[in-house]
Amino acid sequence: MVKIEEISKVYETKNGSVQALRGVSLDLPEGSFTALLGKSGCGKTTLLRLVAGLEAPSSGTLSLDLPRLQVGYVFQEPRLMPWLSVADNVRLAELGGGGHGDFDDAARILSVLGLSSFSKAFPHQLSGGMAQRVALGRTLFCKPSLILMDEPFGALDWFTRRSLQEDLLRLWQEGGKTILFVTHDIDEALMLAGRVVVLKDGEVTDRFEVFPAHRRDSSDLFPLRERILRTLI
Amino acid sequence: MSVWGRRFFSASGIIILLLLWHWGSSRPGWNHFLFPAPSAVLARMVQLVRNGMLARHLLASLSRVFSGFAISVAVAFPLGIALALLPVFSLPARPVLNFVRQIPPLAVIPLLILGLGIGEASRIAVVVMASFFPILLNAENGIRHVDSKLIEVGKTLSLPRSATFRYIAFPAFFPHFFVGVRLALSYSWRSLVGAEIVAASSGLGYMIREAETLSRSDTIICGVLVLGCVGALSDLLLEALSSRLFPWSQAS
Repeated sequence: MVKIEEISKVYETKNGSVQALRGVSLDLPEGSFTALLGKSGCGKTTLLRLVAGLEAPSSGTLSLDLPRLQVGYVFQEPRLMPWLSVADNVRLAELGGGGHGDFDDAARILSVLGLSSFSKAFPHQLSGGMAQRVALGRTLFCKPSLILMDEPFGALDWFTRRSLQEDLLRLWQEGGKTILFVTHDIDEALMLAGRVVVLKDGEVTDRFEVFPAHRRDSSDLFPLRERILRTLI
Repeated sequence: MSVWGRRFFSASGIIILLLLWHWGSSRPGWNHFLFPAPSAVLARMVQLVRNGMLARHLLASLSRVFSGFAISVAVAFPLGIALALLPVFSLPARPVLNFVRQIPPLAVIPLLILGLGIGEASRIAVVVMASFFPILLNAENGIRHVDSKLIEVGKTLSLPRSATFRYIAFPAFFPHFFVGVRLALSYSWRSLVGAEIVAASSGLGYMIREAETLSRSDTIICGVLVLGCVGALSDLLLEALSSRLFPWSQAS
C-alpha cells in the first residue's frame, strides 16, 4: 500500500543543515499496523509528514497506491477548530465539500467513540481525552484506508490513553485499515502494533514482528521489550 | 453572584461617582460656575434634548464618525492583509506606515484644511487617520494568528482552498480583526471631537467649544457626558456582537 525507498530529508536552518532522515526504506502492507518507535528528534514525525504529503522528501521515492483522500492523519495534539461544535469538527471534510461521509456517519462515529452527548459541545468544553477522541473521529469520518498517527495519545493520562488504545485496536481489528503509528513508548508499540520499526538518528536500525497471540502487555513480551530497549539506548 | 447582582455591582462605580458629585455640590465652597450640580446639568440636558440641539449635534458627529470609520475599514482591511502576506509590499510600506502612525491626527488638521477645505472632508479625514491604524495592524495581526497547524489539518482532510479559508482561516482571523475595529471606533470618537473643536459648525465638539465661549459649563458637561455614553454604548454593542459571533474567543 505504501512503499518508501531510500528516503532522506534535510532541513536548512540558520545554523546549517540538519539531516532528519537518512535513507529510510519501509513497506506498509495493506491491513498492517506498524509502530514507528524512537526517541524524540529521531525523525519519526518527519517520516509521517512525508507520507502524508505535508512535506516533500529531499531524496528517495515514496509511492502510495491510494488517493490522498484516503489518507487520514491524527496529530499529536487534537487540533480541533475552536469555532466548530464537536459534530461539525468531525464533519469538517464534508462541510468543506470533501464528500467523504455523511451526517449519519458522523453520528455513528460519535456514538462509537462515546461522544454522542457532546455532539453540540465546543472544543473548549472537552477534556484532553475527549478532544483527542474527536480528532480521531474526524479522521475516521473520511473513511481512510491508511491512518497516520503521530503520538496521538502522548499527552493523555494513563487511563484515558489505555481506553483510546483499546478503541483504536478495536477499530483496526474490524479490518480495512492500514495504520502507521508513531510513538516513543515501547509498551504502547507492543500493545498495538503487529510490527515495530525502530528509528534512531534518522535511520531504521531494527524491525521486530510482534506475534498477534502475544499482543497486549502479556509477560511473554518482556524478552522482546528488552531487545527493543537495547536497540534504543 | 446572580446576573442582576453583577449588573448592580458593575454599575456601583458610576452610582458612587454621581452620589459624590451630588454631595460635593451641596457643600459650601463648591465652584458651581466650573462644575454645576448634577440637577443643573440634568436640567440643561433636558433643555438641549427638547430644543433639538443635542440631537442635531449628535447626528452630525455620528455621521462623521461612521463615514470616517467605514472608509478606514474599507482601506485598512485589504492593506493589513497585504502587509501580512506580501513581503514585496510590506518591506517598503512598513517604515512609511510606522512614520505616519506616530503623527497625531490633530497635528495635520491645518494641512487637511488647506488641502481639503473647511468642509466635511477634512473632519472625516481626521477620523480616518485615527481609526486607520488599529484596523490595519489588527488585520495584519489577525492573519499572523491563523494557526498553521490548523491549516495543516485542512490539508490532511484534502479541503479545497475556499473551504480552508471559510472554515479555518477566516474564523481564526476575524476575532483579532474585530479587536481592531473596536479600538478604531473608540479612537474615532476621540479624534472627531478634536477636529470639531478646531473646524466645524456642528457636532458635539462644536457644541462644547461654543459653550466655552458662552461660559456654559453645564452644556460642556452635557456634551462630555453624551460623548462618554455614546462611546461606551457603541463599544458595548460591539463587545456583545463579538461574544455572539465568536463565543470560542471569549472562552479562550
